[in-house]
Amino acid sequence: MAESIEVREYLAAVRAALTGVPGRDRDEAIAELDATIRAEVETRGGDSAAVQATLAGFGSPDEYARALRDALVGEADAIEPQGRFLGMPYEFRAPTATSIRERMWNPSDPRIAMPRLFGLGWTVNFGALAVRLGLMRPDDIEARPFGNLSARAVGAAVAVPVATGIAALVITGAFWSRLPAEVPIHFSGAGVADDWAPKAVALGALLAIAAGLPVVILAWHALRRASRAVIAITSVVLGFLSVLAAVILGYTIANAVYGVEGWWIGALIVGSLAVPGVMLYLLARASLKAEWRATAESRGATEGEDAR
Amino acid sequence: MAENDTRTSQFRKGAVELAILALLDGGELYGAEIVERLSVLPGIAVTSGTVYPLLSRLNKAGLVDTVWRESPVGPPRKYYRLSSAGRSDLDGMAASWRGLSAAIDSLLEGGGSRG
Repeated sequence: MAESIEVREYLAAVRAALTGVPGRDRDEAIAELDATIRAEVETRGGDSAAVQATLAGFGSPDEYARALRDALVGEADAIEPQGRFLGMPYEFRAPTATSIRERMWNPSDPRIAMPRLFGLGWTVNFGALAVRLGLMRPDDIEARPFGNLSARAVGAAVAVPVATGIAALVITGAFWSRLPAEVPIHFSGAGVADDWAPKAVALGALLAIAAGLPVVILAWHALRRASRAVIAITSVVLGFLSVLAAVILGYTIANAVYGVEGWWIGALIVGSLAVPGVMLYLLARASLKAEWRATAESRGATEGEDAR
Repeated sequence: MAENDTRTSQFRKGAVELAILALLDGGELYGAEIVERLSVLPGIAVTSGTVYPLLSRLNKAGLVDTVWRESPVGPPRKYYRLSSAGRSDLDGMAASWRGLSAAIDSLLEGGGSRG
């Protein structure tokens, strides 16, 4: 079986050249390459000449490793939209913590408008905004982004959607009996109600987003023991949706019970975009500072030993 | 037209990547230093908007390593340096750059097809 030794050496060389690729991705890539080579050798006749020809076709291990690394590491996957429609990016793949981070908090990318996380259009890259405002430098990114968050910091992030959801439930409960059977579900630009629906449907839908969604998604993340970084990033998106739903819910109730109305509701809705921006900034800063502290401490420890 | 632009930008991206690796061959530097050193070269004329995404890409690809170092002013700075993979990539890229540039120069200077 001289041929399998050649293949094994080739695989080992590719593996050694695959620097900068996480271990699990590397194992998977090597297993896949192994299977591909075997299949190719088989179709070429399975003898040692077939092995030679197959390996020659793959190029040198270094070259192959470089191509593989580019494919594995390419952050393009998480930033490039699924497609474009009339020049507008669209995305209908479910958002992941990575795609949320690459699009909503990417200080090194100067673009403020990024392809939207889900749907048609754009989303705000708050990282680029923070750099523009002089709050961050473009490479203020930790070795693992959001990877050094304390349990307290993640708890604070989780508290935003959870507390907003609870507040929405309490307010709805307190006003339920005073609400008319039908409540507004649509307002004009001036904030005047122009469409109505039964209150259980209208407020139920808003409560599902403000309170239901955070509970379901956070419980799911807790069950699969997601990392702190993933929980924090998820809480940012949930916090945004939950605050947005709560603002609309509050305005609906105020409008139906007290007749409150005004154009400012539009500004308030746009203003709720500040929630994910502020959350991402505070989380990134906390994680960054923890990394700086760890670096300074490890350096201090080495210096202390040197002095002795 | 758009395709032409992408091609030019891909070409430029590769050149700036090579420039960053070559710059780091002389020793570790922090981000703003890299931008400053490259921006004064008229042929390259990059901005931080080009350099930082490339630094992040090179770091993810394992070609440059980063380390935080205390700064006399403000928060710690992130320094970049070549990894061993980056060094061997630099050698390979430099060789192919010289070959390509010599070939293009000789074609441009020959200028036979023009006129």
